[in-house]
Amino acid sequence: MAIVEIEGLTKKYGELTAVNNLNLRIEEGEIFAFLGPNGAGKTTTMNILMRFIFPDSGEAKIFGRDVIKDGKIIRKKIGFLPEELGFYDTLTAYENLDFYARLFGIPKTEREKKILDLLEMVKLMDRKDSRVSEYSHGMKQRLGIAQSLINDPELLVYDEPTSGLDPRASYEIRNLIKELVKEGTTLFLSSHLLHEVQQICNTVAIINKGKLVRKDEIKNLVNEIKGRGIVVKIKCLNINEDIIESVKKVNGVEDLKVLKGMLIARVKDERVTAEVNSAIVKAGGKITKVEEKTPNLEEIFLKLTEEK
Amino acid sequence: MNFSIYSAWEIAKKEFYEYLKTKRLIIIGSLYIAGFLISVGILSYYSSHSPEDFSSIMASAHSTVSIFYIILPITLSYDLIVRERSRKSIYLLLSKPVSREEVIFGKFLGVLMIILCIIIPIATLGHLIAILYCGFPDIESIARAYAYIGVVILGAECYISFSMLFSIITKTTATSLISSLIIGWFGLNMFYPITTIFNFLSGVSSKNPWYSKIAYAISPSNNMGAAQRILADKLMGIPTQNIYPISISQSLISLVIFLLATFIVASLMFRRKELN
Repeated sequence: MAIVEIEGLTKKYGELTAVNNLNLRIEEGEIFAFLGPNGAGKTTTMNILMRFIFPDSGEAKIFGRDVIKDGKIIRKKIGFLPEELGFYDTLTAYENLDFYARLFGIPKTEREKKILDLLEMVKLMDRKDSRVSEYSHGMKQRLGIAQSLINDPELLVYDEPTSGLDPRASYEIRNLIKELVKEGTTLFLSSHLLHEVQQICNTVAIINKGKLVRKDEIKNLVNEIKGRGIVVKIKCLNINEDIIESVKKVNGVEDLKVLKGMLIARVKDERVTAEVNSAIVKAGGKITKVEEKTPNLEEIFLKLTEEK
Repeated sequence: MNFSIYSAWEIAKKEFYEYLKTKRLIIIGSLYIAGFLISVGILSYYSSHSPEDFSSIMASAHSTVSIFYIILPITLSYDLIVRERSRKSIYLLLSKPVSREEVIFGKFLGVLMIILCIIIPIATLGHLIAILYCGFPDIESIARAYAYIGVVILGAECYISFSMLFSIITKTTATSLISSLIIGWFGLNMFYPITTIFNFLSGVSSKNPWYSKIAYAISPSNNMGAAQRILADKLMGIPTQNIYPISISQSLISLVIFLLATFIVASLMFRRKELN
């Protein structure tokens, strides 16, 4: 069952087309990443889904309902974490969560337990009675995660959840999200951080200049990366024609170059690297250093966002 | 329309609670309370200590602090929406199952609750102080004193709604405050004097032609003058109808129309507002 369906979605700001005829489908239980460089249209798409802005054309549905007409009903089952997070600073963390819980109509006893459980989960229990204005950015982000879970949502929509956080806080937030998705909640995560997407998600849609350039499972992209081979750099003291010829003869070696006393080649896999090393030694070469570089998701991302 | 009074009430309670912690409420509220109660105290002390003085004491005391009946609602509501936007809390609020109409109504209700909680008890305390000095007046005087408060609150609602409209249109809290004060307070009051000057210069024989009446009725502060007239009618023993361009009932209807019009416009504008 499709949780999110986007068809022909377009949003323009004057001359700028922020989202351009976007089509997207997120299935139930998917851990979905919306990946793209800054200004690609990720936040605009999410803002349309949350009904903060309105599309010029196209349709967006969540749980089979139109986001514009049935926004209020849809939002009962959504947990949202915006990129720019703002709380009621004069209220405490507990009071903020209590207010949001009331808007979902959660009864008092259930509400109290739920808030305390969530504060415990995001490690803010000892600061629950502090005003949010006294919180650090990382603490606010954790509180943001807590508020997104107050209604036991079926869909989590997170827009750049680790944006502006220091490495430690980012790590903590990522771990929190990983724990959440283990329970089977559908996640729609917008990010420009590839390693974050790789760690959390199982499906990725790459968007650039408002257009979808690729949607695939992360494992397929990883296989594609593997198919592109490994770049191996071998530092050899006495490179000569014999060594180069013997390396060329090894099956699975492509694009062999010699640069600053280094043999650089693209090889099929690690086994070929070992064969290349043997060939160099047999040809009388003296290896001092071997480096392998596996292409990562970043290269695919850069290639896709540059080409399109 | 998918409107839940429960959600609006929750928003109103939150607004109310949040306002109790703000400095501007403490400062402006304290000035109003002190101004009103001190006025009542002084006027009562120097009165002839007769129950007949009750209406004049209340009319004078309310006149002393009448500026607060405009400033208080404006300063409490000029940033209702624009503040949510500037601190980005609007995104979390609207990601919950609330409609934008509920947000508008809830916020309006929150400010109104604050104003009611200040004006009614303080006015009642003022009445008690006056009664303490002058003795118990007739029921009609007390009823007129509370009718005065009723009109003031209706006028305050107009200013809440009007300022809320600016808090939707404008992008900064400063612009919203300045616009609300300049247009709401001074701007709307300018129409009637302009028509009066126009009438004088153009030699219009009728004292208050229809457009002068409309120019008068368009300003909530002019119409809030109806409150003063409710007390003045009693004091003077004659209706003040011929002194003002429109009657008390016309003033009350004008306030209701102004309130509804600004509230509906604010709701419609917020409904389609893009929150980037």
